Amino acid sequence: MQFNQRNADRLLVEDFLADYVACLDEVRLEDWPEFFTEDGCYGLWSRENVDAGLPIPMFMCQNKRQMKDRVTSYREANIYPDHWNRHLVSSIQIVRSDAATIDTHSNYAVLQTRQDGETFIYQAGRCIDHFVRDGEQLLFKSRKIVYDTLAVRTLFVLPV
Amino acid sequence: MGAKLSHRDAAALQWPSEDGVTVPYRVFTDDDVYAREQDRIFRGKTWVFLGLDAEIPNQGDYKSTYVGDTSVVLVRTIDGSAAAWVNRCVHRGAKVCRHARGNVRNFTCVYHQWQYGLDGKLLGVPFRKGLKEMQGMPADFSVGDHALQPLRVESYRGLVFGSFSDEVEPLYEYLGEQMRPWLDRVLHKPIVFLGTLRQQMKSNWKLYFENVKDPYHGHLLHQFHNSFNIGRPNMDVASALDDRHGLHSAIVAVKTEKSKDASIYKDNVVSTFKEDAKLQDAEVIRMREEFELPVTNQIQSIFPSLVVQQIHNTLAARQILPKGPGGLELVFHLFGYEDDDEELRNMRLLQANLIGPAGYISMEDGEATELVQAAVSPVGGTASSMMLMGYGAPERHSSLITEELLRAFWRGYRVIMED
Repeated sequence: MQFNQRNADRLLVEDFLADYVACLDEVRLEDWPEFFTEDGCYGLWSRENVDAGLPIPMFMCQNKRQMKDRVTSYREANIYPDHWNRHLVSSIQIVRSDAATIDTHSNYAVLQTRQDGETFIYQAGRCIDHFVRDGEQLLFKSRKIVYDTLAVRTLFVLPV
Repeated sequence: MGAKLSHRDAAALQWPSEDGVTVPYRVFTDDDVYAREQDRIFRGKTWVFLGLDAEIPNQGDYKSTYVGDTSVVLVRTIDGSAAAWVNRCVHRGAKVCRHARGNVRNFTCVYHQWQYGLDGKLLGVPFRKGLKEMQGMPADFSVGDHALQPLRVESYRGLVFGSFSDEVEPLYEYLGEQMRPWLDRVLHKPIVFLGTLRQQMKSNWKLYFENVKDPYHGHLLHQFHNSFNIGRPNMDVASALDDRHGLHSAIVAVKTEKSKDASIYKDNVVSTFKEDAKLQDAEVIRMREEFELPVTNQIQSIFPSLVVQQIHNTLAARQILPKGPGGLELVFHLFGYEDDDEELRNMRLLQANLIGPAGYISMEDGEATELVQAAVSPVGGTASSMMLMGYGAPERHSSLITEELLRAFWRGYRVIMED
């Protein structure tokens, strides 16, 4: 029974993350906040800061409205090189789960391709995700990214 | 300074005019210019920013960093002062400190375990006196005669600088009376270090240094404020220039009532103006007044490697590290004050969204400087930029629509490079 529950959770998380990274890789930015609860949090912290106990984020949204503002700003205001991201997610660990929530850790890499057609490793790191169950589905209550790639190449635009 | 330099750059560089209006693009691409900058600027008569006192508060705390291309280590020593030394073993040249940060009692080169004190003085050499019938080091070898190459180190209000020069004036004078008041304003009480954000750009270090002296680009490149109807370029603006050489400067924007007027954008047909775009959650730009002067932005550049910023409630010392003619790394050292209340500290963390590599109002600087580097890299000969905004007008220190700080910078740069 426990085994089945764990596998069910894993499939649920895998499906959710597959949909999530497809949304990002297809640059359906307006859909991005919809993967979160209204009070959901999202942010990226560098591994060096996390290891040193230093709190500064590179990017942080404390609720869904702040995520929507990011999207509006990307569409209306910010200037950045044309690029595609391709997410690879692996090694999903179910850290904890109960009737209402699932906590997972996973690894990610983002391959980036700019206008010259060359693909490079833009970022690698770890995802610390806290999901809430929403009927048969999941939503992010929080997604904390700890990135290894300390020196960000040019700039950071699309969420991971 | 070393022997007379053989670099052909300074003589070969052709400056179309004397006034800093035109800058030959080769200064951004040429290997010889870059090599000469390492000698004249980074190992020359300057003070180069190394870090914050608050990064290394305790005895034995250290961080690895660079002065130009040279790897150096900044350390809190036994007497409480900061020291810095070249990270190169006196024995065979290996890097002694192999970590980014940490706390140690002393440093040991892993290659042959030569051991150094926090101040860089050599403490011990394995098998110095040999072993049994094997001789060891010559009898006249004394560890006390050797040390890792030290830099002069001085700090001002928590900003730590190093210099390879015996000739450069003390830091206090180097910063000068025109720059110190602006540093004093941002660093008026004890600070705490909140972390670093790093960004690498495929652009020459001077393109970034230009960027922070260029108020003209601010509201044109960074469209966040005008898109969301937040700040306007008819804020009260002050610029300060170190007129001894033109290399240090500050741009300061003060919020006033008239700054809410959007007509300047409509009247000047700035393409980005959108009257109805609104933030759904304006918390990210909510600013608490915490200074006597209601400054929204202060961007101060201390040649050659430091930018001190206050943008709303974000405080940072940005360190510019050159990485060859076509690259740089920018390290934001973010800080708050020791006496921040919890709300203000949280505001500083949220407002980090404004700056850094993902910053609402700063991310474009990476793109803009790379656009220049990419376009000027194949250019030879005398092709040059043109910076005429505000040129020939009576000197004004109250406009964003000027390139005078850039012209002053390039005039000062030429003096250093051709000296």
